[in-house]
Amino acid sequence: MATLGSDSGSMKKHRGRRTILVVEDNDLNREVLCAFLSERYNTLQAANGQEALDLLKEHHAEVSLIILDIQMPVMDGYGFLEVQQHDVMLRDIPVMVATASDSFNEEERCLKLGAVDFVTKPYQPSVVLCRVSNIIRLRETSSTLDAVETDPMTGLYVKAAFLHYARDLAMLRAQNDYDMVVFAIADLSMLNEVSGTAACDKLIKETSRTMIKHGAPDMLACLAGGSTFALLFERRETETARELAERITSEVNASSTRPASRLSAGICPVEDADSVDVAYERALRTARSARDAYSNQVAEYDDTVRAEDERRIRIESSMELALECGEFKVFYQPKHNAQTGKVVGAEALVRWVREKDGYVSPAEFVPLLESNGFIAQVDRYVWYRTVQNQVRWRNAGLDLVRISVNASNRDFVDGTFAQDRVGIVTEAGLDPRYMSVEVTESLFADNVGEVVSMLDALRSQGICVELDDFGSGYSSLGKLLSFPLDVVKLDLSFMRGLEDPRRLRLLEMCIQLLKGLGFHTVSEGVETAEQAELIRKLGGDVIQGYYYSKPLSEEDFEQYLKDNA
Amino acid sequence: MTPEELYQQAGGDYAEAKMRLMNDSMISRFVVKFLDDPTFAQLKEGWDAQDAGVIGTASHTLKGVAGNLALSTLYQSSMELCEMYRNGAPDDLDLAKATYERVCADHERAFAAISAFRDQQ
Repeated sequence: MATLGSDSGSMKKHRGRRTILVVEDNDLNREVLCAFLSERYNTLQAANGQEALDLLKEHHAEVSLIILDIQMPVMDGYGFLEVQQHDVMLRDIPVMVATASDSFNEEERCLKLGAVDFVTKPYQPSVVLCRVSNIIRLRETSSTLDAVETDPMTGLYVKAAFLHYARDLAMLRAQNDYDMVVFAIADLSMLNEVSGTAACDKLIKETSRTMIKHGAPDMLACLAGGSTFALLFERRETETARELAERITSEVNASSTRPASRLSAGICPVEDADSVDVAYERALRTARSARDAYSNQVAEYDDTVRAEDERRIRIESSMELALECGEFKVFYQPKHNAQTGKVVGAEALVRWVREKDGYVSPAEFVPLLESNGFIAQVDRYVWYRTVQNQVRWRNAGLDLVRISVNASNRDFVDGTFAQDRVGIVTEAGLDPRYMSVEVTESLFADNVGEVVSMLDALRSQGICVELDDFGSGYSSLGKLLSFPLDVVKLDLSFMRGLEDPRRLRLLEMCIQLLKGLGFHTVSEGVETAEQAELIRKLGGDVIQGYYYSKPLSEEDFEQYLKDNA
Repeated sequence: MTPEELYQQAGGDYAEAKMRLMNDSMISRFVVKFLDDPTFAQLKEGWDAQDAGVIGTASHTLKGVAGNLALSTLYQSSMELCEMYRNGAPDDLDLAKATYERVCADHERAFAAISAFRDQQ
């Protein structure tokens, strides 16, 4: 496995003059060489190979290059090279062999033993100095490149270097067939939240070690991102990419103590050097699809995934125009007071109705738009549209209700969220009490301080903050008190399986707990009269669900407000 | 005696010396070290013992020393001797002896010139 970076000890700390070790048994020859080298370099001297090795034990970190004579007593140049090449601390120090001008065999043998260059005796100072300078420069550039190209924790390439070398390999060895294999760890962020950074690092290191263990020694591999690995598999008769991927995922998943952080793999053939990047992206998407299929952690890019890809590309390429042309529609699902049944609010939901392809499910386009960041523009549009609708309904004499609008984590990235949303409300002349923002717990994973600050700014202007999907994942009760919230929306999963007394009790306790902490509650997914009655009895504040209404178009919601005034 | 004169007397190549040792100061500094170099003595010892290995190694080293100092005549003769002993004792021992004697003569010439040069510094 091409895991550069393990020789980090060979990185010289270079400040000023470099040091050259001159290994030559003849005093006069050695002194002459050192004399003209000393104009630019510090020098160390040894009279034979063994002396040189002894010197290097102490000074290897300082030495930038070795000039090595061949014929020496005690240990000759060949003996030195043989030892040096097997020593991890020494083998990266370049060796320039000093040979007689008529010794072709010497040169060949030394080069095969790892020497990088040779210089003929008698020495030509200008030539020696140039060769020395060139070799040192090349070596230092290579070391810097190593540091840039490799991940310090795993020793694997970083993604950019991996793809670069993969393209090179695919081009130079075009006669070979390659597969791109991408591994993805599911929910690493959740593992981080629950068990901390050390647990994540441990899993990443374990995964990389397993890849190295099972992969061929010369296989290109990388840590492509926080939870993604890749390797370039050269097809062979002894095993397939799938077999290798299955061995790796099976071993990692068997040893993982957190089933949620499972490793999955996607495989895509590499057609040629130009398609390496495409193969990577396809393998990555396939790996992500595979992680949802619990029974099969390894999947190959096929027509189904290709069709999904093509659909995704069509969606992504048309989203901006869709926004401009009004293909994104805003729907409103009413919220009712659990005790009185009165309409007290609504949640704004975005729907995409494409002119040619028709309805696009939010489950499909929301993740896409979140991954490419366009969701921020869509969210803003929904807010803006809702504010405009509220103003229009107010002017039409309707009694307004508070409408909540979802905010994605992306909306908070540039720090202007609060200012922007308040600005829209203020400019429209709408009372901010009639708007609220829905956020999820994942928003508080990063930059908590900034997020809290923005939410505080909203609340200070009268815009409420609602926590959506409470109870759907690893909800943290303790954190609730840290977040600036007004309302907690119980996930619709609470409404399932209520024939189980324990689930019923859980629901009751959650509602009481949240109310006790001063939050208003909204119970989502209420579909039946029995469920609505249950929430009423348990003291829930607001109900949202198909029991009262499905999400309604703007026109239908306007009518709904009139009918339920 | 100037360095240029020294090289004339020593059977060397002054122009080459300037190229290899860069300037008169370096020439003056290093050429006198030839007087303390043990290589010729090693060669003589090897020859007296008719040790082909030592003769080969010493003549090789002497060639290098002479070359670095641009003592071209000595360089040439020691190179010839070194070639003869590359694979052990040569078949033509008479030729080897003649070559060795030339090495000795060239060494003596260079040694004498450099001694005189050193003595006048």
